[in-house]
Amino acid sequence: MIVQEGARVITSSAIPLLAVEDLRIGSPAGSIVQGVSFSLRRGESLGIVGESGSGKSLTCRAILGALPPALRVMGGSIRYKGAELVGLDRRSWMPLRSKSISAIFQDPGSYLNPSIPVGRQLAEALRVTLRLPRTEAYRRSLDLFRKMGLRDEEAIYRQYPYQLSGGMLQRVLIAIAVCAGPELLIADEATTALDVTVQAEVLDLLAELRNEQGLSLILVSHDLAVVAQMCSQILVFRHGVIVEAGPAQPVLNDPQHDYTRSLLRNHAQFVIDRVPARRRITDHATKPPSSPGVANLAGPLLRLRGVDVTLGAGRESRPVLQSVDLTVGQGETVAVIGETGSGKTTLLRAILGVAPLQQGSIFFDGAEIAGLRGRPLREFRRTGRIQYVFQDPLQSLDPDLPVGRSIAEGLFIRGNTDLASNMARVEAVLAAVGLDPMLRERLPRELSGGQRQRVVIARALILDPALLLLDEPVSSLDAASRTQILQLLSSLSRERGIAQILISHDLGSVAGLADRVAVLYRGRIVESGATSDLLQHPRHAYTRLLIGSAPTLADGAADKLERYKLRAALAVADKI
Amino acid sequence: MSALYRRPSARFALVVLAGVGFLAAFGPLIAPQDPLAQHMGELLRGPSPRHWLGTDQLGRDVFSRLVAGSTISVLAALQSVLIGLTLGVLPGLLSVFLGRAFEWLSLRLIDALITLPFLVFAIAMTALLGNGLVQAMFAVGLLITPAFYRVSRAAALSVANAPYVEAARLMGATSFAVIAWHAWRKVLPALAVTTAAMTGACLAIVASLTFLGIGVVPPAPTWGGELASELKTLYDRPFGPVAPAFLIIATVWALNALADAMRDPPGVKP
Repeated sequence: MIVQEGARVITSSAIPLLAVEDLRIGSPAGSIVQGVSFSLRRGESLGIVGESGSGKSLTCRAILGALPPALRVMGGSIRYKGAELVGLDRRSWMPLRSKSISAIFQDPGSYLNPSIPVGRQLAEALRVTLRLPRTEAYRRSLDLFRKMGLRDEEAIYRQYPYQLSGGMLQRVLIAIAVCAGPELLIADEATTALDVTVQAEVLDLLAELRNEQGLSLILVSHDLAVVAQMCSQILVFRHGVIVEAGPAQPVLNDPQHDYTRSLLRNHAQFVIDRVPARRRITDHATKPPSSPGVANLAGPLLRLRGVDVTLGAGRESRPVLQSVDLTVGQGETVAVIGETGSGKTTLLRAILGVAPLQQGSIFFDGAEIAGLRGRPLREFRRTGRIQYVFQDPLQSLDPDLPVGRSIAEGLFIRGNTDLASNMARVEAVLAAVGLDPMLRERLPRELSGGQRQRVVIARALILDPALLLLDEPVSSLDAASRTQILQLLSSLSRERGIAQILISHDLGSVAGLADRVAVLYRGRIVESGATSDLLQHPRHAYTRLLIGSAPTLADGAADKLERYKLRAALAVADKI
Repeated sequence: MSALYRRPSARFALVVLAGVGFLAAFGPLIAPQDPLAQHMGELLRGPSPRHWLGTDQLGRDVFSRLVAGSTISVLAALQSVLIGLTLGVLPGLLSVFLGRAFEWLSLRLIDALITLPFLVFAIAMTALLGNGLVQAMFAVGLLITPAFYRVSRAAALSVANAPYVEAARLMGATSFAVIAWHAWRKVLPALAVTTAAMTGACLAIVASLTFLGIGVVPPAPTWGGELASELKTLYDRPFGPVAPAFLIIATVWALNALADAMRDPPGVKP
């Protein structure tokens, strides 16, 4: 299978680096992973895809010998260089971990001690695994940080986890993971939580480690494009079994299993490609013919003029939004794209009257709403004309209330206290978002992520809004539910003429839905325009970087050099 | 509630409390003899078929006095807890939702209450308002108010910034609507624990107060009062304090065990 590194392959080809055979994981109650077999050679990278709960993470944890306490390996074998890993005791695991097999995970911050500088945590790992003396460990830590692309390594060494961004933390974690020279690195959704531009850079780093140090990779991701870009081999998991396996390009280009095909369909439907002839799912022709005309007559639904927002007080205060102009027509869908900290959420909060404006004005339906306070603000909110859909549906539903009550809450607040009629409306709106009305008796934790997102959308819909504000509506969902939610949103705009503002850090995931895209960079809208225009002819360096960073199935992210040039151009522009 | 039954200690505590509740409800009715009647020929007797726990220095049937005294003891404890709940819970909730002025003022008042010593304050109150159990327990109720205030406030604070509360506000909910829909439910479990623990504490305080002779006018029987009088006649009836002490300890233990069971999530071993 591997030809590129001849000499090493020949010596090691007899025994694969990792061989998993008929692996079954579960509890006495039943098994979750049911007979998984695959092998991995040295220097190879293996991608594992599948929906959440398909057993891909559990398989990785079994390879690391770190299953959750309730679960254990029920059968099969995991052999590392021919040596059996299943059933090893703690003591025998110690030399294997970090020196042979290492791992990084989705949320790097939670794997670092918040009260110890990150450099000391790396140095400690070096001292424990390689038994280096203190000064040597310090020197090596700085080396590693530099190698991981963390500039100004001496300052980084002394910084605490909270002072670093998600991408930097992931680099620190990678440094700790590879510091003892492991041969296998497992990356379980390691770039999922990162901005697209940062994800591209972290993936570059992993590819570099693979090419230069011969590190083998197991990359678990729900993002097919990431796997396509990084991996030579691919496994498709579903319900605890491998439904399809093989070299990446053939599997992705000509999938044999129905499930793989549906994954690819879900991926292709909404993810934009940089290829110009892109299929739009919200075709203008299918919209009610009245909406553009009405928009012109009645003026825009929402208009922001020169909005400045400053958060924090005194010396802590910093401008978050600077002279932002944004217009949303009746029934129009606008995507606001920007990286973490660009001010996206603050923009929505300003529209909602939560973040006070320093300057500027916000007109909704022709009336100024920016200055509303107290009772008038409450009265305006009770009309339900603008509804906000929170980023995390689980957090935004009261855990003790059946979801039906949560959905009806707005009606009660408005003063409709007739329980029977409210519940009838709840059932109608649940059906409208594609959920079984009987689910209204369930508690939020009893629903899946996709169902919860629908519930939160139902809560907004029941108040008959003219404008929906959606904060990262699909970022917490797996590919299948993501597609379904995006379809739902597109049908809401088509059938009910509800205008939407979607914010996201990932252009690809929402651009398929949007009529227009606005790019927010460091609190300013640097570019905006019709979606297809903007994708094909991005003008601002940041937009180009954003589009160039998104991996696609056909090819990886844009050329590394090109992205670095754009970063450099942005850095220069920021200083001016 | 079903989780409570699974813990043996909680089950046993419920049985004990049911017994105590029965005694408190029907004590004066089921006492075999008049708790105030004196049998002058039988002073300081030991247990006998006629007087199961013997008689005290005035020839009164001790068993009947304990049974009849349950009512006053338990009612007094419940009364102070009720006062504490009334004065503590709503201000505790409102301190989170009603704005800074109310928050500051109520916090200072509660701080002031915390500094007052229990028994001394209760004694001062009875001196001021007249000696009686109602007055004394009013004082105790006032003194346990901070516990209820703090618990409600802490639970409400954790709710106040939850996204679902923000969602309610974005739909135009007032503070009272937020309390009625969301905060109230989050406060209940913590409040149940505090209530059980405080009832136990108040029962012990009633006992201490009546032991000191505060709050109860002499002939009326109470558990604490019996304990005090038994201690005075310890030489004649060395086993005397056991029965009243056992009643007090059993009830306080049962309430604490129940509070512990409610506090720990199901499945956690004590």
